[in-house]
Order: sequence, then structure tokens, then C-alpha cells
Amino acid sequence: MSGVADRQVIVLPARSNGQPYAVGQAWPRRLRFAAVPVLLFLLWQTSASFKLIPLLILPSPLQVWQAFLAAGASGTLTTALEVSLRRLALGYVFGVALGLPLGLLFAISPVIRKLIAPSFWFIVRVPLLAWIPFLMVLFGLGEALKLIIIAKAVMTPVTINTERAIHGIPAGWRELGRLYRLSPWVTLRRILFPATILPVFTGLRLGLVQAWAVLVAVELLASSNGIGFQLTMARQLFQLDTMLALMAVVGVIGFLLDRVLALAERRIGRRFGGAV
Amino acid sequence: MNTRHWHDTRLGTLGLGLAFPAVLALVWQVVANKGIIDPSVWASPWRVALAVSSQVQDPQFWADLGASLWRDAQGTALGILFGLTAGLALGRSALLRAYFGPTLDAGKAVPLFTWVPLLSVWVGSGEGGKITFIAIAASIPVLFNTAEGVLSLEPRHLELVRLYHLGLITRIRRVVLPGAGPGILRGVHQAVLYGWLATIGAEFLFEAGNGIGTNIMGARDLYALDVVIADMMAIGLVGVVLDLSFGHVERYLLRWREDHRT
Repeated sequence: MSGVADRQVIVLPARSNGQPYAVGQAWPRRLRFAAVPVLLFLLWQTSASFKLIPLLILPSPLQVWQAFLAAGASGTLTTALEVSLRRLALGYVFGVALGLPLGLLFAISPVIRKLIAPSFWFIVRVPLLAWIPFLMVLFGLGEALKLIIIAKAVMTPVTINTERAIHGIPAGWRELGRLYRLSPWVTLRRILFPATILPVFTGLRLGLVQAWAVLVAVELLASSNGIGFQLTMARQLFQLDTMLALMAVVGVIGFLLDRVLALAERRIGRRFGGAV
Repeated sequence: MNTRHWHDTRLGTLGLGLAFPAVLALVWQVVANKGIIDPSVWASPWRVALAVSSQVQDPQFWADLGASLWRDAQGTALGILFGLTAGLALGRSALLRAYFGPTLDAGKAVPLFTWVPLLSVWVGSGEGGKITFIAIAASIPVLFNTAEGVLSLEPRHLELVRLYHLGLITRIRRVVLPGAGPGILRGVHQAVLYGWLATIGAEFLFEAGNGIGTNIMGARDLYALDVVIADMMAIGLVGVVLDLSFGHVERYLLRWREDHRT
């Protein structure tokens, strides 16, 4: 979603460091993470039950759940999700198809790097959102606008991480390949692939998470369908129950995309961990 | 490997970097002049240059840019303040980490812009909502990087703290800040960039007020591509200046660290 080079994902360690607890004992250790969400939910329910905040401003959990079911039953939710996810997939494929070769070219040819990298950096540095009005003038409000924006969001981390991955191949590994006179295919499979797969995959993960974030932004701003548009509609009709339900859907999808790929990344890390 | 190439000189690097956009601009100009593309839609580089010079002389442009920067500064400052406090607390307390860590981690995966409709109802679609949104955007990288920085403090340094019974202020000033400094500064650096991005986003998505985001959207409504590009360049330039200048601040503040001396 941004022109920032890349974002680290930091999983805060939840384990204790052996310090004695005064309060924590009552909760089973592994369930402590649930305390905050449960507490928030109880606060929410209390506020709704006693109408501490008008239901128009903060609908009850039940209302939000019903709005979710209603949106699901009427088909608005599934249609919107279908539109958005198709956009995400298509834009993602474009972004990866641009980013991987570009990162590769940057890494292997200093001339190409010097030729294109400054322009690439300029494009990256201009915040993504600032491109939206520009692309709106050129391409209108159609699909092209969204695909370009998503592809750009994906391309950035993919290119950067691919280049870094190739630069990071230990010199000794390549020497080993030359020493044993490995064929190009074996070199690729046994040396280049294991050495680069993890950082490249990190780029792919960051790209997907950013693509989802950006898709929501561009749909909020300039779209006539998709989940972001439905969110805007609910806001304009002041249906906060629908709005909160849709927000939850967007959040859960973002969370799942991140977690699934993070899991895959850990797997790859374990399998090819020795490479880095 | 170590032979010098023609493109290793400064001039070569600069020339190559400029060649690509120069050729692009030239082709664009020629194609526009020949009438192959409609020059009233695809503003030629020359028209963009004219738009830049007219924007620079336009007091409205400067007023909008100033309004955006002021909004950015307020929101980012609030966000950094909050992120720093929460990050320090989270980094120092295993209990807080156990309870809040997973929730915060999950919350981070929710796309930032999803909050816009909710904020516009709860906080208002005017200045309050915009600044809150910018503050949220800026606080996230500070919070996580600060927490990580504090977690990376060396146990022996903390032992020293216990040994000498250092007070809270001394502890923070002499041990926590220097040890967690790189993490905190990395977070603040990202916050400065996120803040600017969020400022533009807020001006697009919340109720129209003043600001460079409103300015660029106004030009878009008129299909004035030259003005849109000029504004876009201004937005990009602000981002680059913020990035570079904070990079200098970061290096200056960390000049005493061995691993930052290159």
C-alpha cells in the first residue's frame, strides 16, 4: 500500500521470560491472548445492552452478525468478494510477472540496473495513492486502474526482495558449483533455487498483503463494485452494522492471507534454512 | 570481476539513470506534437513543465501544501507519541506482551484504509477524522519497532540497571533509549513516510477540505492531467525529502554506534 521499501512482520513473542506473575496465574498460559479480544467483546456487548453508545453509532454484536448473514444471503457479499478477489489475483499475477524479472535483471546486469533503477525508485517513492488521480485521468474508473495499482503495490517488494536474494547468494556456493562443473540446470536447482527461495518468498508474501490493503483503498476511492465499494455504500447509507460486518470480512481476509503465507514461509525457512 | 566498466563512473551512472526518463519524455513529446495521441488528454512533458511553473506561482498550491504538511505533522507526532509509549511498555513487560501481543499482531493485518469509513462516523469526516487516521498509520511502525528494539536490549545491560538501582528516568535515558535506539528510529522513520501517505489518503477519502490531496483531486475532476502530474511530483518530492532528511537524522543520532559507522 505504500512507497515504503518493505515492512517487517514482527511477531511479538508471547512466551514469558520466566518472570513471576502476579496476575497472570488465573489464566491458562496459552489462552492469555484471548483475554483482550474477549474483554473488548464484553465491553461492546455491555455498551449495546445498556445503550451506553447509541446503537446507530455502535450496533450490537447481534445486529452486526445479522447484517453479515443478510449480506451473505442477498448475495451482495459473495458478489463483492468475487469481484475483489478476482482483481487481487489478476493484479497479483501482473505484479509478480513484472517484479521477478525486474529484480533478476537488476541483480545480474549493472547497466540495466543503472538505466532503470532510478526511474523505478521514483515510481516507488511517489506514494501509491498519489498515482490514483493520474491513472484515473488516463484510464477512467475501470478495471485497468485497479489492476495497475495492485500490480505496482506487488511489484515493489517482489523486485526489491528478488534483487536482494540474488545478491545474497553466498559466493562460496557459486564457487562450489563451478568447481564441480555442475550443469546450468543442476546449478539452478541445487544452488540458485535453495539460496534464493526464502527471500524471494518473503517478497511474494509482502506483495500479497500489500495488494489486499491497496485494493481496499482503491475500491473505497474509485469503484462501483467490490468489497471496498460496499463498505462505502454502507457508510453513505449509515448502516453501521453492515459496515462493521464488511470491515470484519476485510480484516479476516487480510489476516488469513498474511498468516497462511507466513506459515508457508516458515516451512520454506525450515526446509532451506541453511541457505541464509 | 574487478575491472572498471565505462558505466562505473559517476557520469556514466547519472547518464544512464537519466536516459530512460529522458527518452520516455522525448517520445511522449514527439507523439503528442504529431497528434498521434490527443495532447489535451495526454498532457505532453512541455505542458507539464508549464503546469509546474504555474503551480509554483499559485498561492493556492502553497496554501494546500502547507495545510497538508501541518496535518501530517500533527497526526504523525500524535502517532509517534502513542506508538513510542505503547511500544516501550510492550517491550518491557512480558505480561503486556502475552495479553496484547497477539491481538495487536492480528490487528496489524487489517488493511489500514478499512478504518476510514468507521473513523469518519465515529470521529467525524473533518479534521479530527483525518488526523486520527494519520496518527493510527504512524503509530503502527513505531509501536512494533520500538517493542522489538526494547526486546533486543542486552540482558547484561539490564542487569547493570538492577545492580545500580537506577531510577526510571536514568534507566530510560542511559540504557533503554541507547539500546533500543536503532529500532525506535527505524520505526519513526517508517512512521514519517506512512504519515505522509496517510495524509494524502485521508484527504482523498474523508470529506474534502484543504490540502494537496484535495488539490490533485480537483485537477482530476477537470481532467487537467498536467496539473495532476505537477501535484503528483510535489507529493513525491515531499516524500523523498522526508525520507532522505530523516535518514540523515537517523545516521547522526546513531553515529556513536559501531555497526552504524560505515
